Amino acid sequence: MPEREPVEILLAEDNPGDVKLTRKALEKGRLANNLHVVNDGIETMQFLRGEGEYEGRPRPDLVLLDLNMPRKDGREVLEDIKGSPDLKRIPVVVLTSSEAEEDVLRSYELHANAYLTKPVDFSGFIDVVGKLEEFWLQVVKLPPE
Amino acid sequence: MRLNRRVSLAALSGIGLALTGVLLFDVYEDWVIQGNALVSTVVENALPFALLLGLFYTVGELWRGEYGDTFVESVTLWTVGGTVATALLVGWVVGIQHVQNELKPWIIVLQTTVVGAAAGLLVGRRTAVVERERDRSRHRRERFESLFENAPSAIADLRLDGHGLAVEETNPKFDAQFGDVRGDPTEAALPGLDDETRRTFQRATATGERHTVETTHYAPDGTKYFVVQLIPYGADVEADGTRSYVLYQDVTDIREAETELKRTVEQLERSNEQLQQFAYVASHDLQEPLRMVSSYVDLLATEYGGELDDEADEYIEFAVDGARRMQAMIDALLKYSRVHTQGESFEEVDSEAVLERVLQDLELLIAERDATVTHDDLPTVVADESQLGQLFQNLVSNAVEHGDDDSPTVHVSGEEREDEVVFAVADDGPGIPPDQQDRVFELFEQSNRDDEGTGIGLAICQRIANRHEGDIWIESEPGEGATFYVSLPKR
Repeated sequence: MPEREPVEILLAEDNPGDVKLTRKALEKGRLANNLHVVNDGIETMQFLRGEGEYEGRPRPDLVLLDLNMPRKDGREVLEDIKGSPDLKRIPVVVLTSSEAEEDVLRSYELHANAYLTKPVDFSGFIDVVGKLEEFWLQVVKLPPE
Repeated sequence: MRLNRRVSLAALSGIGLALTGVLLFDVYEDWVIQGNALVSTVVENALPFALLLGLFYTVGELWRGEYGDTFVESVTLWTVGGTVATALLVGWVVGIQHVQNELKPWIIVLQTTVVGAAAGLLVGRRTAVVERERDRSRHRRERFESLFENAPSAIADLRLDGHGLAVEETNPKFDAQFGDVRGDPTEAALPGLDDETRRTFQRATATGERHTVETTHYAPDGTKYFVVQLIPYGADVEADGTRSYVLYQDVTDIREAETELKRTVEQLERSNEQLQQFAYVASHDLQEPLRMVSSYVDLLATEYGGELDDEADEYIEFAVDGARRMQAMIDALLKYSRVHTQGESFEEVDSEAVLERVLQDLELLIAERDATVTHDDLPTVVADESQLGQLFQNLVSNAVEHGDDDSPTVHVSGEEREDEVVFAVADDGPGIPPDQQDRVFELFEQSNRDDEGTGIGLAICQRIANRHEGDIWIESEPGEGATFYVSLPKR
């Protein structure tokens, strides 16, 4: 496999503990990546639209979205992304600790591309992130930019 | 009616005048033509004259309207009947004697006496019948009056005539409740009724329709609630009008109890809702920090595992294990709270098919424990199918785990009773001592009956039974196994 350009991943997550865990898990993965982190829903949208301080940011290949965030929560962000003709093709993976059925259903209703529950221990977390990477960035053929 | 009354009075007056004319003619003939002494003819006709005076007095009485139409007609009929009958009979006898050319005065006297006797008998009999009727109706009235006087409801007797609706009489309960209202205008006399209702009652009294309304009466000693019934009972015999009863039934206690009940139910619903919310939030939001703890302890072990000593590794292991158990309990709590929040509707379910499916799912556990699970034919029940499955699964796996140490035997049966279906899951384990039988259903009860290590399985069974308005209980003798019973009401 030829060397690929690093993939751009946007992580929308307000908990620094989770940010670090995700970063760690991605480091352990085999794929070169640039992880961008935003801490709430409004920042997420600004990043995706390249507004304000995010002008000139790369367009992410994948969004990892936490459902519970301050200012604008993940559900609203998901709605905005999937409602925007420009952004709706970016795959969004909902990554959350909620196992509630209504959250799962609601996310898929809002056209989330996948819904993953954060495992309790770190090894499980690495596993999930690894599989995520493999599936969304290597197995699945994504739409061209 | 008015016309009949006039015709009646005219007939009576006519008879009176005709008879007076005849008497006057007799006096004239005796005195002027025959030349008899005036005294003798006056004496002769004195009695009939007196009786005729009585007749005219009565006509005057009837004319002044002191009696009803029916009364006037009845008097007229009897008078006309008596007059015509006597005239015919005496005329008949005198006529025949005239033809025979031999007038027999004593026979005429006898015949007239017979007529008088018959008339007396007839009137006497009639009077006796009327008196008997009056006695009977007095008894009846007394009975009803006693009911009226002692009724637990406040009752007013109403009369509707040309002047409108008026209170004629009230019973003691009414007076005690509302004070003496006789003579008050109707607006004040019938408490708690608005104008519209009074108008309706007035119309209904005229048409004979029954009416029931509920009303609130603001009395100085507190608000009272009444069910007010209007019961029309026909025409007023004495006056030209109609009558009705109005009944006030005090339902204050019932209304207050209802309000109290409603308030309690609302409170209960609210607190239940808060509890569900609490369980959901607890299981949701508690997971976040928990995950932080376990993930970072794990990370610590991964990244620094080699650099720490064995004891430190053991600490980490304990921490990870604690976090896992807490996670399991939170999951269980969520599951427990979902019995009510995410239940499906109740439908007819073939419980045997449900059990078969559960047994398939439990195949692994059953094989592992070398258990034998048997069951009878099971009835159809009305239940939430997936919860019934969960119930069977928890009870059967519990029985398999706690049955005889090697190769336990479990039997599932179902009995259809009159208004419920009772399932029984029996094992051949050591049994449960009576003092622990209720405790095994408690949440997180870590008895030797716990299931999945969280002590939630049986608590969920109880919650499912409760949601179906059924019951769950244990019968067990130490050393003789335990039988779990679940009753589900028929719907």
